[in-house]
Amino acid sequence: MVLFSLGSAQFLTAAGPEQVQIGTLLKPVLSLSKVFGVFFLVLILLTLARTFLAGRASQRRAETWACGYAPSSPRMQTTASSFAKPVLLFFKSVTSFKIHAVRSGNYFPKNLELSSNVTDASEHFIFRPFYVTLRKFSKGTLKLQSGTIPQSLFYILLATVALLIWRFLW
Amino acid sequence: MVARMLVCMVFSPFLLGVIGKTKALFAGRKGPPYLQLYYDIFKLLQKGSVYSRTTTWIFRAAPLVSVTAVLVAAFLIPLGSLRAPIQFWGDVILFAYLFGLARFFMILAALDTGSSFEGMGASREAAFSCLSEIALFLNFAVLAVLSKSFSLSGMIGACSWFSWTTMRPSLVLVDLSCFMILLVENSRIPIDDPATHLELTMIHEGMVLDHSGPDLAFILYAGAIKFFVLGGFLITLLLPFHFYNPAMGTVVFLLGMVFLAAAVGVVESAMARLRLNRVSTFIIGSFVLASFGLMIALARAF
Repeated sequence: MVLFSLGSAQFLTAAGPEQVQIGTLLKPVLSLSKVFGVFFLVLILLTLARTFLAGRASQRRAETWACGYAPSSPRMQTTASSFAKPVLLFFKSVTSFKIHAVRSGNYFPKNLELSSNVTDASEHFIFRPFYVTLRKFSKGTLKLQSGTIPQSLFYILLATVALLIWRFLW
Repeated sequence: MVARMLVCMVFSPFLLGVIGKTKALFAGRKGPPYLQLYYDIFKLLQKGSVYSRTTTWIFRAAPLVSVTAVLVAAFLIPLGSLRAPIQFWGDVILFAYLFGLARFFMILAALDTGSSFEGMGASREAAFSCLSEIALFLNFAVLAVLSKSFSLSGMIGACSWFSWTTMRPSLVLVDLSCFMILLVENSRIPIDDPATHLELTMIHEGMVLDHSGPDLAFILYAGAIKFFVLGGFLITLLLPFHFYNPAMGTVVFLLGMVFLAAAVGVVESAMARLRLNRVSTFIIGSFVLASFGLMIALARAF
């Protein structure tokens, strides 16, 4: 991804490393290691400051602070689909993201059912039609492959004649 | 280099004070003092902290990583006439993803607490930032085309009076789009209300509900520096003055930053918060502005 964007940026700006030498190749590595050096230096300094501050004041452990916090169970945690939901809702027209909710009772539902499903747009609209056509085509060619030896010889003859005509006409 | 880091580290909480004062002026109140955030940070640094029993080292590391990441990002951009100490071909990607790293750790810390509100805030933050990242990179593309350079210093440094006279339409579009991204990235009002007390509507504030004491101080400070860095990017684009005297240039730059903070305050007072499902439309607006800018720039370039 990064390589791709660097490449397209080079295309857009039409300005990049002019001549490729070892120095030119190593230059980004050098700058990046400089950045990482600064990063870890700042991080270590901040961690030291944090440890110093923590030593002076009290620290205690308690339950998670949030209004009405109930200890979470694996069934009620934030999952990958929680993170995907806002993006999927935004691209609803493409992904045909659907949420099915069934509830019984008005204000205090006894049973709740919630499920969501997404159509994989690339699979549904691009790859599947492509492979369906491909399969139809190969089913047609399968007829050519099976048959008796005289049939195959006839195909060879046809192909040779076709090639000869092609050779002499063009 | 020391001078510019000092300018960035000392001056950044002041800008949030300016925003607060502007909002108070609009509401007819006296408002908190300009130095309120310094007092808050100082107070929080001296306090003890409470950690949830479900949290691990990630929760403690996240505020430190987020301050570090935004500080390192501050090394990469030119602030007014103060040059960037580190610049190389392609540093825009590093610049954008340092903010990504900070956000990633904050999201992990939010999930670490196991609270439903923090998980919700984290998922919203992830969704909106993933949209605003596209708009940000489109702006970088426009600047890259205009300046024929792919490092932040080259992009912004190439902006001078000359580029304002020849490239005005696309630069205006980029500036508008960057201002919108600034509001999104710093979770200011049309996107997120930093002063909200209702957990259900929180985005960024929801993620940091469980941080206390020095950790919260670090998070507030990281927010202030992030505003300074992104605002500095915008102001350096808007005020393409190149003073030979760095002190003079810095003063002009800082005045520009104060005006920017006041402008954010005006936007916050004049607008209501957008409904959550409208926020993505706002971000797409900045994306569209940037793509028109790119079209104009490409039409001029080729």
